[in-house]
Amino acid sequence: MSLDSHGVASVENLTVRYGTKTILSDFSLVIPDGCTGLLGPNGAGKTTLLKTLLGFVSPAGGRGQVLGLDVATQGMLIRQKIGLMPEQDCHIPGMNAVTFVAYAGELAGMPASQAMRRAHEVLEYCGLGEARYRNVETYSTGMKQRIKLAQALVHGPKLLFLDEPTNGLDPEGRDQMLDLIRDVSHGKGLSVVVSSHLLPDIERTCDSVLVLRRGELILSGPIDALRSTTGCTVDVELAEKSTAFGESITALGGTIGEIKGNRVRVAFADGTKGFGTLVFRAAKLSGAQVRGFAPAQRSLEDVFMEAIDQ
Amino acid sequence: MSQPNVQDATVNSPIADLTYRNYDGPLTSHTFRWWVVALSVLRTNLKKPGFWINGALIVLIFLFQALLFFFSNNVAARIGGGGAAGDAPQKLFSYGTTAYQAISATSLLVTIAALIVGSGSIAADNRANALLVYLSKPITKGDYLLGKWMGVFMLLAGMVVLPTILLWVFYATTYADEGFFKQEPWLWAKLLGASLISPVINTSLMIGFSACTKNARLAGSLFAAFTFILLTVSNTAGFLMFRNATLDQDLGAGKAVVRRAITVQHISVRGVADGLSMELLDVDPKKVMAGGPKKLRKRLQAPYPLPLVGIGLLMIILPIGIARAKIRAVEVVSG
Repeated sequence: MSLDSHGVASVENLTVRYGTKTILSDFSLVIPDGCTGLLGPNGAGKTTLLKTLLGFVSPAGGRGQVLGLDVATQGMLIRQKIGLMPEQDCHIPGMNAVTFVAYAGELAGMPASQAMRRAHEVLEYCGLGEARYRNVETYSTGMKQRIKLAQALVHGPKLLFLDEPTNGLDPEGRDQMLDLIRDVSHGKGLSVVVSSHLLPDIERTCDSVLVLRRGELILSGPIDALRSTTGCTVDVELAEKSTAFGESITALGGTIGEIKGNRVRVAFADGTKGFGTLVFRAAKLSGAQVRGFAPAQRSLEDVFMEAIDQ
Repeated sequence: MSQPNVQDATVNSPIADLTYRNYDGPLTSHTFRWWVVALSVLRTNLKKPGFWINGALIVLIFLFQALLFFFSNNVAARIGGGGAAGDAPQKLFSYGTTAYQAISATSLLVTIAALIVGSGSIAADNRANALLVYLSKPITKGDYLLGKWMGVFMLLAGMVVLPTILLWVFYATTYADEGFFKQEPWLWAKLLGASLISPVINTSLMIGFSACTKNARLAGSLFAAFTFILLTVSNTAGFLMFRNATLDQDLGAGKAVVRRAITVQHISVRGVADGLSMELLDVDPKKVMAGGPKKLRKRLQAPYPLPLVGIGLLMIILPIGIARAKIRAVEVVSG
């Protein structure tokens, strides 16, 4: 794999050790444009990969690039162009939100007046407009997550690293955060890498996914492609539950898979011609009413579990 | 005149633009990025009443010394009759000695100010994981450390340097006719140097201790304990050596032994600052020490400057080195 022409970031033969423990071993991957999910169980090496890309951890071997800049030698330029929302709570003590975010902008090189203007803008965008003059230390967990996003966005990064962005959030806060991530990562001219072990978060926000396990890349690609099923499998939505429909499908050579409410997954052998017609014939035979019909898609959880189990 | 429909306007146009826009505006040079950090330290600490109280006390000390200098010289002039015509009247204290006494007297206040403004400088950042914010931005560990150091240093230096400048202005305006500029053409530079020694050492030590912990109070306590214990140990050891040496001197021991004892007595934060200030301002220790047996006072000498320079540099460089090693964006656990 060459680093020169791939994605917003990539690593090649990367090895990272903490003392004698090897976290990433001869690891290579490419992070594509758009919103990418970095999935993996705890200890898979997601955060270590992000730290290495940011230059916080020196790799024992291999090389990497972020936005075309070399990780080993151009760390400063990389950090000029990226934004990091860390997993842990972090703020500058003794500052209110607008001062904190403006200060983060100044640290990134923005002139003070521009940083202040931008801080107001970004806080409004992140939904903290009303609380901008409150000391950050008094913020709730949800607000602290938002301000971490605001300080990462203030200098207009081209690439955003979000490490466990929904950590500690209640369902409503999580929804709002995911909406924000979805919004910022689509049509705003910046790519986003979301590191998480929460599959629904990745499914909701990302276009592609990289699955890590024990320091190895085990699966990667666009989420839609990974979720699609092979062969002739369709999800059929019926007007109401029907066991007769299942029997008819079986009689016509198909199999019934997962049943969720009125939705039935129907599979025919690979290469079956006209399987759509077979579905409607089964419906006619059983007296069931078909309301919807679509190629079946697996959930990201299925994809993930399959990859992990391999 | 018809009124505009305020309600409609509010509904149709939100107060704030909630869309996200990218920033492609100007960026400042990286060279002075540390100044952003320093400025933040200044802003935060200038709000602390403790800093201003210390500053006010230091100004009072300088004011007291200036008045003492003024009145003692007036008294001396009257007693001495002003000397021969054209001669400057003999002064009880020299310009340098008075400045030294003022600077030396502020030593404890500078240490307290270092506790107030410096103890949380890095410790609070450690506690709040602020280093993740700092170091994920385009600044280096060096920029961060320099910014923190300069922020604390400027506050401490300002507390001492500004009254020192005022003292010099007092000398210059009051004693210009008596040949002040002729006698002491470089006093301003010496005063500047002497007034900066204590702030430099206190800043470095405080930054070093602050970088080693997540708790500002603990950092402050460690710094205070270090300063106090070193002062007590060096004073006790130096005093014992001095006493033995002066007894030996009666028996014919050299002056070098006494001077060595006095140097040992100066191995502390305050001692180094005092000893080097004494050297810079050409102060005669016999004239500074008030009270005590006359016989003992006669044997007083200034400490050796070179060992003090070495210890001073160690107190500056070592804590900065430790702080630099401690500053990390992430905790890397070896294992």
